[in-house]
Amino acid sequence: METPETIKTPAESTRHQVLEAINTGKVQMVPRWRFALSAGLLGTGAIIVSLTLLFVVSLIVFMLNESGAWLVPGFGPRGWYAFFVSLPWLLIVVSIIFLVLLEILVRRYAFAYRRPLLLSLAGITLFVSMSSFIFARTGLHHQLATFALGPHMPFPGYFYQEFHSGTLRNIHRGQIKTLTNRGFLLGVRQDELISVLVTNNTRLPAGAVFSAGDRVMVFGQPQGYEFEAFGVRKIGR
Amino acid sequence: MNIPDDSDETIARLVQQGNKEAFGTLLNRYETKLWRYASKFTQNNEDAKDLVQDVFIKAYTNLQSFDSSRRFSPWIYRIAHNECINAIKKKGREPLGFFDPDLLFPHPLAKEGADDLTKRREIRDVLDNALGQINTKYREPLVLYYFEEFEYQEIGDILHIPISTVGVRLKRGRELLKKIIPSR
Repeated sequence: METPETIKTPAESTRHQVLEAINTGKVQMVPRWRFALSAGLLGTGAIIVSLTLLFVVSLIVFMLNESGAWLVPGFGPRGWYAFFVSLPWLLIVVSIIFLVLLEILVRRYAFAYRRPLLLSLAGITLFVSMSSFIFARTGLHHQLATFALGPHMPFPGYFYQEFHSGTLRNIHRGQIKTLTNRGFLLGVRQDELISVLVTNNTRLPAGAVFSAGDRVMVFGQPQGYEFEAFGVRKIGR
Repeated sequence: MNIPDDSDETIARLVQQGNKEAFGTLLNRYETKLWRYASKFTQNNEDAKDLVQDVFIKAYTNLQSFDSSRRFSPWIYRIAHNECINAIKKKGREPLGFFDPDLLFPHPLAKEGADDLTKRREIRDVLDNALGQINTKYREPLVLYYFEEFEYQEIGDILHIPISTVGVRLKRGRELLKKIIPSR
């Protein structure tokens, strides 16, 4: 097929030139299957990007849920600081990139371009966030986390390992092994025990009663294997 | 071959089915309109002829992607819009904003059809002389609304922008027009 430039003759009328190019076969119609294929590829791309985004956001939700980081802002400014420091920023940046990519992919469809960019982005964000909360509860991340601690696992394995290494700042999750006179012994990863001191300054939920076997999130700065809890909250599972 | 009574969409379907001659009817119907649009939008009569030719070639090439259950005119004007934007970029005569903040936020929807026919005609006459002084961002919706007589939704579909943004651009375009020609 020749480019339009090669068929232009300024003296002739547009109509004549275009029809001549069509009738002589210089310009040919692109078959319908090519458009169907490109629409299919675009759709598949959008689905892959959506699923990846869903996975990454649900991983963030899972990590925050499991670590109990959701709960630390309840401990005031110190809690908020610890929360922001503990956020998986790399995953957040990755999810923003995928969100923008998804918006670019769907922008050519009327349902997206007919809405202001912010509304469209907010719609996608809301949908992905809600789906991620549901996805995070399916147990898949628990299985992947267990798997990641074993032999090597590509890309997401790193995040699961990081998460399990307990690097979240001053946030310790674990199970109460024994109640002591001054607090309790907290069992953390690999049967490690930390002595948690609960004092009058420790922020506890109103009416909270802790007992051995409870899974808790303790907020406080450890000094060796003992520390005074700034706050304690029960967490699920 | 001329098919005067059939709709553009019916003719487009005929062309899709292999009737090459039927494309001549679409050419007849749109040549003047697209030339007017391209010349007013690009503010260049010389380029407009070539642009229109390119638009028809692109339209024919991509006709199988046209959904004949939808209106043909916004579809072909969308092609014309892309061609004009490319031509403006290529020439580099006018700045084209990389990103328009008006696309970000929802705007209260300006009422469509507030202009009566006489007022529309009046604005069209004034516009003709002032278009060159109006930024491309506002010029295009003004051309599509006052000269090509598209509705807001159709303009939105041609430019791939929300209907509320069409309203905002038209409003600002009219305000610019008032500044350029204060007596009106």
